[in-house]
Amino acid sequence: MLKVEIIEEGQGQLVGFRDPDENRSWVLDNKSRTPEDKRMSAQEAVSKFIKPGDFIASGGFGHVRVSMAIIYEIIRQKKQNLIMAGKTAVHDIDLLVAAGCVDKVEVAYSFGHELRGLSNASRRAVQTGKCKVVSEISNAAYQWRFLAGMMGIPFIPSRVLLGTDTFKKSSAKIINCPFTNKPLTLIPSCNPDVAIIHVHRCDKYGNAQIDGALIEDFELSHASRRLIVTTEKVTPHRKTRLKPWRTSIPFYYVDAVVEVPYGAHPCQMPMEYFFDEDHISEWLKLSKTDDGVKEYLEKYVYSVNSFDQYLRLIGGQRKLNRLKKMEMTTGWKAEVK
Amino acid sequence: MRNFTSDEIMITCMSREIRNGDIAIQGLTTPMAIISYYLAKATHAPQTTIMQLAGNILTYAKAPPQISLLFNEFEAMRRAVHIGTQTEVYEVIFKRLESIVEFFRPAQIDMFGNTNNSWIGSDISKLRLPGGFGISDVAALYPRTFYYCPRHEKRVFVENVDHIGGLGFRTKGEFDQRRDIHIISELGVFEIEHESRRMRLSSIHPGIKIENIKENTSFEILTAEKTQQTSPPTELELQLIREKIDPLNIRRLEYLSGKTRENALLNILDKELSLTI
Repeated sequence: MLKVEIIEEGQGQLVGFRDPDENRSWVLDNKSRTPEDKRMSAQEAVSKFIKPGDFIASGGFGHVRVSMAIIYEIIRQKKQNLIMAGKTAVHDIDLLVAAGCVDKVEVAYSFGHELRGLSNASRRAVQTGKCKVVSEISNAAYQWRFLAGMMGIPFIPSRVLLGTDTFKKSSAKIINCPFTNKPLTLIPSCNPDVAIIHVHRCDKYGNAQIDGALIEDFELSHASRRLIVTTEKVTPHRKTRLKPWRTSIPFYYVDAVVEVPYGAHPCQMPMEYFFDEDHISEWLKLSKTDDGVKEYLEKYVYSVNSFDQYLRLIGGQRKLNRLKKMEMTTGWKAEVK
Repeated sequence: MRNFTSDEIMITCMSREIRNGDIAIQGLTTPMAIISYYLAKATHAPQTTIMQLAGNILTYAKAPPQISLLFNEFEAMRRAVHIGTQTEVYEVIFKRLESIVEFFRPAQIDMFGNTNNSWIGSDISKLRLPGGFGISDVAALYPRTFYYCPRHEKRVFVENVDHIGGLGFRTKGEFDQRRDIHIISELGVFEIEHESRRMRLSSIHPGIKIENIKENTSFEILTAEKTQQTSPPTELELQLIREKIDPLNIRRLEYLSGKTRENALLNILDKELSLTI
């Protein structure tokens, strides 16, 4: 008989993990199963569902389909001591770390702005110890964490991370597989306290539809305890019933439905509007210094009361029309050298 | 005088590693890798499937599209035959390890083929980098792992990496199965030799001297008695890179840093934006 043994244990802090039984009973006690009107403001959703110490995860990928309206609101309400999933987190995490809201991160890909360069503010926070990397992880491992969380099991067996220092700094464990006797990585499940996801359309109960790539949002939305959905448009419920196969997040996972047109700005919303490169550049430039960070937050977050007011500041409808037009370009002609 | 630049010969070498029918994984922030996939597809490997990690999309394109900073996701969406989820991307990778090609760019690589993209120095207070992302997932599993290093410098080619994110070979270790690690730099093509587990020069790019490699590497690289020369890019390859795939010279960004990079980036963004309105 083959004996299963733990061969090696990662030393990273285990964050966002729940015993599946405990999580199930929490869900039973705390989550509504009745279709009820969940529409509320960003201000209300953040103050109601995000608490200090929460493990939060933001949907989308890189600069695509990120719920920036909620990110700004978290900063405006000066939430603190949040732990964040660094799952290809880019602009969202940079702002939250810079503003002092997030001080712990589990990192697969963070502190970078993709091809635009490295993130100045969040790297500075990590290098000076203001923000702590509590564990390292990889892309696939994050995916499996949410998948296990969604399935209600404590871990996913996998072959990733084997042999690396990234494993040593992670919260995973390596065993010998009881079937093959080869080393196997156990990736612990993750049930984030709160996930924030921006979608194309959603009815008032929370049945949400996403156009384009879902990335991790199917698993993430189904694994999270609390889920704040921001949507470009709240659509009538009969529209959901017209094409129910397009609903990737059903209502019983959703706690708040927040209607925010252009809610991903300055990130891209597939088939809706394009990246606002001017605004992202302005942030990258200002975030080179602490004073610059203060200036940015003061101008675009603290002295602004609503997302509409923010949209006026970044150039208003004229700018938004331009971003919309760019996204809808039917083929960019690039003969210019 | 060479009639090609360092980035062009690197892209050609990378493209030639792709076999017809391979699945090429397109990650974030790696324009040279994307160009090499498109080049392979337009030349010797038309049946290459491109799977975009950023959008999790399988794409097929006959003619090589032009690469872009801004329209990467946009283009992929319109060329897609299927849009999956990230679970599906990893599912495909793990089921088809043998036919996957993926080019990673390490911040550090050592003589045993270990790589690091997490931080530089003994702790993270010195220089924090983005992290392990996909490399830690697959480097030990791929039968063929590919790295590209546009800047062949001592601080990139180090004796020991500060953190093993991508597993090469340790002096002794548990991952002993035979696997190939190829490294393409601006100076030559290298591999990790199976017997010694050490980096060996496979071919040197035209116009480069062995001394150039030695001067820019922190450890001793094994060499053959008679070093092979990399075959230079063909006229067709150069034409495809320069005129069809990357006329805006986005590939150059991989060589630049600091203010120069920022300016070049803004310049390309301006050009791309001017094409849209």
